[in-house]
Amino acid sequence: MYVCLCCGVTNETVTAAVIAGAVTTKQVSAACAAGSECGRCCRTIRSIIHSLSATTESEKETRV
Amino acid sequence: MEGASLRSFVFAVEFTIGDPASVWAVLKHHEENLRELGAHYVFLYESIVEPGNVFVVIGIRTDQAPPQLLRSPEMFEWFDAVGLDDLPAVFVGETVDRFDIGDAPPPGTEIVVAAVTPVDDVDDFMVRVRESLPGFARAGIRRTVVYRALDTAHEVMFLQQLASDENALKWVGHSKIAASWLTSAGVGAYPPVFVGRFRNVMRLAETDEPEGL
Repeated sequence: MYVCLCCGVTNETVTAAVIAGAVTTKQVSAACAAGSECGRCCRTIRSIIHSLSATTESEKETRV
Repeated sequence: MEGASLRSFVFAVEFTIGDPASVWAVLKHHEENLRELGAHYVFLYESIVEPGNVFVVIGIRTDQAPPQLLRSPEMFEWFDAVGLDDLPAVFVGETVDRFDIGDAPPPGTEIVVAAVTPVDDVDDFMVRVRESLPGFARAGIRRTVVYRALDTAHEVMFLQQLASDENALKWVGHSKIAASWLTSAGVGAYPPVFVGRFRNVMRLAETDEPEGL
C-alpha cells in the first residue's frame, strides 16, 4: 500500500525504516522521505511504528 | 489516451468520515478530474459495521505510473473535498483472478467483504484461494476477486461479494480461512476488514471490466 502519496512511499519502505531503528515520524521522514511534504500520512506512519513496537514488545515477552 | 503503455489497475481506499453520503456527491462533482486521471469506473460501498466508514474502488487505465497519479493535484483535491485531513494508505493493484461462484446477487444489492493482506507469495495465496472455493460457496460467497499490489510482491487485496449481510458477518467472524487472511487487518497501515453494502457506481468509459467487483 502507498502510505505517503506525495513521495510515493510504500508500507514496505516505511516498515523497513522502522525495523532499521526509526521510532518517530521525523526519523521515518529522514530515512525514506515519507511524511516529509504535506505530512498528512503521519497518522498512518505512527500506526506502523506502533504496530511494530507492539510486535517487538510481544516477542520480548514471549522470550521471557 | 491511446498507446501500448496503457495499463489498467485499481485504486482502493477505505476511510471514515462524518457524512458518508457526501462522498458520492464529491465523486460526481469531480467526475471530470476522474476522467482526466484515466478512471473508467468508480464503486462506492458503505460499511454495515462501522458508521461513516466507506470503501472506494477506482478502476484506472493510464500510461502514468501509480505514484504520479497519487501525487496528482486531482487526487489531493478529491481527498480535500471529502474532508480528509489524515490521508489513509492506498492500495494500488491489478487483477490476478476472479472467481464467480453461483449466481451473482442482483446488481445494487451486493454485500462486499474486502481487505488487504500481506502474503509471502501471491501464487501460493492463489493456490489457497482455489482450494477454498468450495468453502466460499458454502459460506454464501458469490464472487471473489484477488488483486496483486503493484508496489510490492507481498501484498494482495481480496474482494468478495455476497448476497446477505448475515453471511458476510458470519464469514468474517467465524471462518478459519478469513481469520488467516485477516491477521493484519487494522494493523499498521492496513485498514480493518471492510464489510459493506454497495452504494453507487460511476462508469466513465466503455470497458470490458466486470459488471461488478
